[in-house]
Amino acid sequence: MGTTQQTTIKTKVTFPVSKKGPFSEDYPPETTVETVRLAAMDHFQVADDAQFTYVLTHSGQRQEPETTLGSIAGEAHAVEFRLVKVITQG
Amino acid sequence: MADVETLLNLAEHEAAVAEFLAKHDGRLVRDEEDPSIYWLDMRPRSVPTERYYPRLAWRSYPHSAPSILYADLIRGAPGITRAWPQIPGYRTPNDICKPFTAEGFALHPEWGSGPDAWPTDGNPFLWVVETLQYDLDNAYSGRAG
Repeated sequence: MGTTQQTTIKTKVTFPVSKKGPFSEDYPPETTVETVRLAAMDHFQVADDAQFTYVLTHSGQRQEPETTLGSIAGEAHAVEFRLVKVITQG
Repeated sequence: MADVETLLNLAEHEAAVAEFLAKHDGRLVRDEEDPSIYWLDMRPRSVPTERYYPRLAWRSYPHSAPSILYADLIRGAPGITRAWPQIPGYRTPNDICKPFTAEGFALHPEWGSGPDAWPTDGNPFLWVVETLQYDLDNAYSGRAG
C-alpha cells in the first residue's frame, strides 16, 4: 500500500460572540484566506460594514486575503484562525 | 460592586480568557477586593518586552460593555499617559473610543443599536480581550507619552 499525499488542510475558525460553535472545513492548500474568511462570516452570520471589517488572524497576526492556507500551515495538517471584528471608527 | 449574576457569568467565562492570554504571553488577574474587576497583563507581538495592564470593570455581564482603562501595573492607578499603548481610537489616558467599551458607548449612544451594538451571545469577555490583543498585535505604534 502506498502512502497517501495530503490534499487538504483541516481549517478551524473561532469567533467568541456567536450562538454557533467554531467553523470547521477541509480545504486544498491553495485555498486563500479570503475564501475561508467569507465562509466563516457566512457561518457566523456576520458581514462587513462601512465602519468595520472582519479579518482572520493566525498566531495574532492579521492574514492578507491572497495568502494561501498552504503557506500558513507549512508542514502542519491543520490551521486555526480567529475571526476578529476590526473597528475603524472612534 | 456588580450583582451576583454578573459575577457568576464572569466566572463561567474567565477560563477561556485566561487560556487565550496565556497563548499570547499574557495573564488574567481577578481583583481581590472587587471581583467584577479584572486586570490583564499583555504585550504586543512586535515588542515582547513592553507590558500593558488594562483594567476591565464590568457592571452587568454579559449585558453591557466594560470600562477599560490602562494602569502602570496590575492594581495600579489609571490616568498615567505612559501606561497606554498608541493605537488608533485609544485616547490616552482617558478612554478607548470604540464600540466595545463603556466609555465608547457613553460617548456614542448611536452605537447602542445596529451593527455596533454590544454583543451578548457567546463569550463577550473573550471577544473584548481578543480585540485588545488584536490592536496590540496589529495596530500598535509604541508607548504613549
